[in-house]
Amino acid sequence: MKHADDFDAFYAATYARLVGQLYAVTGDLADAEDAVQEAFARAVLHWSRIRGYDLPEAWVRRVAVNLARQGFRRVRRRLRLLVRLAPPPPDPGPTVDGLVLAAALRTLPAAQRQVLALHHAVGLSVREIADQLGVPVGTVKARLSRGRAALAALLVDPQEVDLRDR
Amino acid sequence: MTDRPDLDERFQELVQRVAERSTALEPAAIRRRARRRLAGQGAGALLLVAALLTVGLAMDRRLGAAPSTTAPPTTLRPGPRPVPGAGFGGGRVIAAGTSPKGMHWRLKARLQPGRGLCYSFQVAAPGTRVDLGASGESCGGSQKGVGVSYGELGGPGNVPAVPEVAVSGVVAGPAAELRLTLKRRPRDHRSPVAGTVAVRPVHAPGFQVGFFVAFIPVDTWPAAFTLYDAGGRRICSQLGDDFKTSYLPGAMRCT
Repeated sequence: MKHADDFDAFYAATYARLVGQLYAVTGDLADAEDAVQEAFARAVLHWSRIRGYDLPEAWVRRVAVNLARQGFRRVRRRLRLLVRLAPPPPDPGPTVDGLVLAAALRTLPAAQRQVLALHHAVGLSVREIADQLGVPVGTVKARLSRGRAALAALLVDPQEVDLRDR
Repeated sequence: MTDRPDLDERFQELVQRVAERSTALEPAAIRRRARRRLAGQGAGALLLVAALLTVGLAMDRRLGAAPSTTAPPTTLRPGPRPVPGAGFGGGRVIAAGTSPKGMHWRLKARLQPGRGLCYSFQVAAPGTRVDLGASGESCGGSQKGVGVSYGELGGPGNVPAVPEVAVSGVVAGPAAELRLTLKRRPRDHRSPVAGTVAVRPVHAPGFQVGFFVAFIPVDTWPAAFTLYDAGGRRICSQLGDDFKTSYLPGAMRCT
């Protein structure tokens, strides 16, 4: 029973943050929630082991990111038991910054978006990202650099544009 | 903190905004999902392989009083209406029935403050009480537009030995009718209108729910979903290429 309580507390404390982070990775809230929920469903099956880890949240995030990368959502549809009836949830708002960044991220290639999100939203180092994604460190650095360059072009401050136009 | 604090800050803000808007399932729902996952391992194979030949469709359970002028003949036989309240805290039974191959199903819905429209779908193998079958719940949040989602079930690890796919939908907003069009074979454009769904209000003015349950033999290929308003005008649709798989896509949304 204590294990169950542990899991419930862990889930309550980390779910929303993980969905936020996965949203940055996937660019889609429904995909992010699907991946995180599935990762938690896997975590609960192995909770007696995972609860002993230093960072159980990192385990769940890693699983969720991998699921998102594997097109998990399509696979889940084939397997899942129930019909998900809800219309897709709305994208996040309402701050201008949040909307601009979310929109900009969606225009990036998935590989760049994943690296940017894992680095800036999750705080993983380049080496940790390389380990998680199973790619060389140099590849991560290149994706990070290209992704930042692309974001810089997309995240122009409207006030700067106004000033430049004058 | 990375070497780009400006980006860190913007990402953190985005994460925070999304986190505030996400709706967590109850931990019990995660456990149910885990149990289903255990039970459902291997279920995908059949559904994957099971696409492409043809037979037809069995469907349509009409709801409420909203008009529908194009309802086709149906082989979906309504079952006895279950007792409201079981299995879904207070939601009322919107409809229930029995599929052509004997799967019992029912759909319940309610409006829940802060969570929007909540519904549960239950299904049970032939000979099994529906309240003992598989079930799932979801809440759609406050919806102003029109949206419909659909999915599937059936097959081993799920409800065994009944090769059917269930299609269900919820319409939030002013839609009056949902039509499912099926291609009898991939790339066969002679696509009959296979079924419709009517819409009726649930508890609150202006908030409507329609739904639709079709049990399709898994060798049938769904082709398109289209929403119409009460005047028969098309609101939006999802067509063709999205359905070139043996499973159904997740959602359509239009405003």
